[in-house]
Amino acid sequence: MSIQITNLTKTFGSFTALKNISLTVGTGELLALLGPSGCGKTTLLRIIAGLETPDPGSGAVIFHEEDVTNSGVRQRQVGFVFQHYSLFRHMNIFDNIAFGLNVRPRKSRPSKEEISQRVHALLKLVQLERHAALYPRQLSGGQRQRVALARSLAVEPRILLLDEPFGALDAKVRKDLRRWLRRLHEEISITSVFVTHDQDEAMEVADRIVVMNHGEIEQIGTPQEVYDHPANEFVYHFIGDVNLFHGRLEEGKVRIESSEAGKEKPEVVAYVRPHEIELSRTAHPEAIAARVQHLSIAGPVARIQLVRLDTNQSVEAEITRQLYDELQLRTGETVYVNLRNLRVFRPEERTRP
Amino acid sequence: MKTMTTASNEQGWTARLLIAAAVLFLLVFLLLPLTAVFVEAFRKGVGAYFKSFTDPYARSAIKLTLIVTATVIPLNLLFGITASWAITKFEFRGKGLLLTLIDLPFAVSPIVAGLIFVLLFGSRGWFGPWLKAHDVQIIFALPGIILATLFVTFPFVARELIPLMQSQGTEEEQAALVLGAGGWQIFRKVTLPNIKWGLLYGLILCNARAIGEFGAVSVVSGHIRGQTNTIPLHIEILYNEYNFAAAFAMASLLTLLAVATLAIRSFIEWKTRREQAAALGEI
Repeated sequence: MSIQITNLTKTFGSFTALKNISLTVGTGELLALLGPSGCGKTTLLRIIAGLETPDPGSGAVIFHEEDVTNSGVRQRQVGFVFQHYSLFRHMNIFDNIAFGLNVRPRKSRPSKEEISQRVHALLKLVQLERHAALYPRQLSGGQRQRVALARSLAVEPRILLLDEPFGALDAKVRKDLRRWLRRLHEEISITSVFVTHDQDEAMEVADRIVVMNHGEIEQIGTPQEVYDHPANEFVYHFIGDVNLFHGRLEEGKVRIESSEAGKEKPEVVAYVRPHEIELSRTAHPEAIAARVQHLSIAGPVARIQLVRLDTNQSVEAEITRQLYDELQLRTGETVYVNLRNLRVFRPEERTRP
Repeated sequence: MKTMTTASNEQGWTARLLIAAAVLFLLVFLLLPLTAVFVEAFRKGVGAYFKSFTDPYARSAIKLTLIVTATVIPLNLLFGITASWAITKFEFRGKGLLLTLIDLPFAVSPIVAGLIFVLLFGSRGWFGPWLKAHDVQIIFALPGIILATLFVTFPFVARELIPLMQSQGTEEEQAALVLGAGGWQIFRKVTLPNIKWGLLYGLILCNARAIGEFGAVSVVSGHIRGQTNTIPLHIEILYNEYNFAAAFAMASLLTLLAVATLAIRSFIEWKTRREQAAALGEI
């Protein structure tokens, strides 16, 4: 089941939540809507579900050639997983998962045995077989979110929508659960869209990422495309850590200079990821001298906080543990910074205000 | 209280003094009158006590009170749920005004509440001539008593439910909607179980007030013996006729009701506290 969204706009009073959004989600794809809070990603998800309506006459939501723009939530047959689980607190886990089947009109309702079978199959899928009789309050956050997922899958939805599914969980559970979601998706391969503000989560789980900001789509691409070829400054910033360097454009090359020389040349801002910075002890003409301010070594990478000697700007570098051990860096000493992969954005790619 | 008992001697004295004052106050103003009601009711013996209820006027008053209560409670249930649902689950213009209006009966004196209906439906009221022409009697009859009681009791259920439903939000209902449940199914299977204790609590308060209401009902009733006297009105008449034993016997009925209300109320509070504690335990 594919999803096609065309020219969709949504305003709340004078606030524009979504501006002319067009997007296609392929059958069986797992798509992430990524962006800062207030960028419109949740609104878009809720419009796909039918929980919100787009501005009248502003566009369409199409599920595999069927225009559902004006269909109610129930007709759309989607699964929706809420950030705070929204389990029915007075029902046990079994009844929570069976709810969607139990509320069907008698004609299309499966028999009691069928419902029980399906619920137990789902409990097995989410690895909570022994929790059927417990109540939501007796489960941990991660378990509850798995119940919420099982509950939404029980009605065999045409598409699955997840609103910040791991947002309320702590870091460790979050990581486990997103890997588990990825595996689950490979198993049942239902067209899925999930909303997140966590770029790591989007990178790890999604087939494709839609980066959103201020109600507009900034870029759509695979995690690698978005990371390696960010469409603009905003995407570059949002997808990972960044260092900023002011320089001037000289004959198609960027010169990072703090000197007054070449004042007539156009000014540019260049970006470098921390892991694209090289450190060495020996000075050379291209390199920038900097003082080591802080070292933090955790796991396989060493993060080094530096301060440029010429401008006092801080620079963050990430080097391998091995290199770090070879360099034997000390706080306070001077090293030379070499920028391996400078990224400069044309004015039209600059961040919108 | 724990901090009080483990605190220093000086604080211990303060606590003891305050507790003593509170207990004394309760004795003088609550327990003493309560005892007096029963002592007076039984002054002429148990036989006389029960005989007061066999009096036809007393029976008629009890019957009328039961009819009024039985009409008012379902109507308040309906209104309370509708208003709370509208206010907490939807966004609309004039929501603040509706909230204020719901509180109005609490702010208005019961006498005024009664007079409003006399002004509207009395023989010289706005709709009086029309009602007379169509031979409909509202004031000095059952409909007037029901209207006045409805007016003074309608905030109880909504006032209980609105904060409760606000704190619960609408996500469970949305989840049910996405899972394919219809409006009535959502209400019956998701909303109602979540609000049942608050609803019961509101209804009990509403019930107590409906049975005991004096002021508003007194204005619209006309005090016709055997016809438009509710229990509180009947008590007043008996008392004015120096028939103390009968007056206190009827009063003891209302008092017993109050005690029962308190007991049920404590039970519900205990029950909700337990459920809230369980809900907090989950986070």
